[in-house]
Amino acid sequence: MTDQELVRLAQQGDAAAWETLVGREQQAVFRHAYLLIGNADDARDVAQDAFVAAFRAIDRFDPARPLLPWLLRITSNLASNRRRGMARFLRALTRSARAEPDPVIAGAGSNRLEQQEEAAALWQAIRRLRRDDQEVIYLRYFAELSVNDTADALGIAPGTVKSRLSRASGRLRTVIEADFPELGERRLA
Amino acid sequence: MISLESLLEQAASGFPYPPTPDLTPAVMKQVQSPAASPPVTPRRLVLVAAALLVVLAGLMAVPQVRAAVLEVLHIGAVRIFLEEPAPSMPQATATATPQLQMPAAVPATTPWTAGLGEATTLVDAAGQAGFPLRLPTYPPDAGPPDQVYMANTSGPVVVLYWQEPDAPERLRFALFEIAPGAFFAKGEPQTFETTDVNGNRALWITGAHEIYDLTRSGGMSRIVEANVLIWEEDQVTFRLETWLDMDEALRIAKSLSADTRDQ
Repeated sequence: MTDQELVRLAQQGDAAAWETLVGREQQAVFRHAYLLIGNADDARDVAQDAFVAAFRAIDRFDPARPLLPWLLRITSNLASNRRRGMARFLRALTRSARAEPDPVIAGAGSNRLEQQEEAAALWQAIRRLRRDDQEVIYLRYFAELSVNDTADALGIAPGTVKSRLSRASGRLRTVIEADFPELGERRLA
Repeated sequence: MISLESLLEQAASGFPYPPTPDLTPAVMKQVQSPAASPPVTPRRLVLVAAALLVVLAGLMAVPQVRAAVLEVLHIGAVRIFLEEPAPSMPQATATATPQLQMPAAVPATTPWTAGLGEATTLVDAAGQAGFPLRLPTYPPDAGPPDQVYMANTSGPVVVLYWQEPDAPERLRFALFEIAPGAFFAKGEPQTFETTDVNGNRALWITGAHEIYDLTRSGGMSRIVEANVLIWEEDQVTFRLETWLDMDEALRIAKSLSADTRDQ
């Protein structure tokens, strides 16, 4: 069954249809939240809240549109300011009590490990950017949305996506050159 | 040599994400039990209050938390936890342009009313609230609320929502009328100042922050981006959320009068 058909069923109150959609999209939503927040526990909470909020607003969603950009838009909104506030302390306490380590880079081989380390370093560079620059990069490259879907997720025109990407890339390049020379010296043209 | 675009694509494909948790059980549990709270009883109120006290006392006993929470302010059903400012992130050299706070230009990316409770009518909300609802007579063109929501946490909460006339998806202002017994906590508002509404102490809060309804099962967290005015009158807590400035918010607050329409 297509997403569109499942959305229509969910709009009629079919929870099972929504469950299927959650299963399909949870990886993309969780990963987007993780990129924005940088913490797996918080990302899980935000992703969960995003699916609940989306279901409660599903009757206002146009099923002719792709679902994922809308979900990622809600996720972005919920993730904003998530790093701050009292919940941060509650979660920090929980984490410290469980002493659960953050996921570690573990590759099958040296090439894989190197790629992951490079990806992690690039992420740290991206995280230095302003929020809207980060979002457009995550949506376009990490979530692999098309320009149109990225525009949908950000609520802006496709042309603006391109200009925002160009601007974000310029800023990222500056950050890499200044603070992540190991990325810039070897690779960037 | 490689382009930045290619580097990003490679990084995305090789990024070491943590394993994706299975969200479906938790999501479906919430989806299938929408705001179905048991009836409020005095015993339940006592239990909720006791549980909250235990949680808060426990938290404050943890040195890291106690050190971080500088002060707790209290107005009606709302507690505000002021925390020690987090260290600021280093600014990238390329982002010399300051990030401006332009709330009016920020589109609402999530339906503002998501998660507020059950949509209802003004008449029904007035019948169920258990206290007289009050409506603003300012701004003159506001009229009745465009949407009404009702939640029952450990006390009834009525949310009256007015939308922007030329942008229905945008919040103009919303008024939460919160009965005694409901309990909300706010974390780390960016700025606030004390004012008054009809002689009652009030707080004007600006800057994004989270609000927690600690009495809901599992808790409910909501991000607030607009400005908020909170005050209490006759044991009802009022919470006005709006993009308007403090003067306008105070004019709305001071214009509240009993809903006299036929019920």
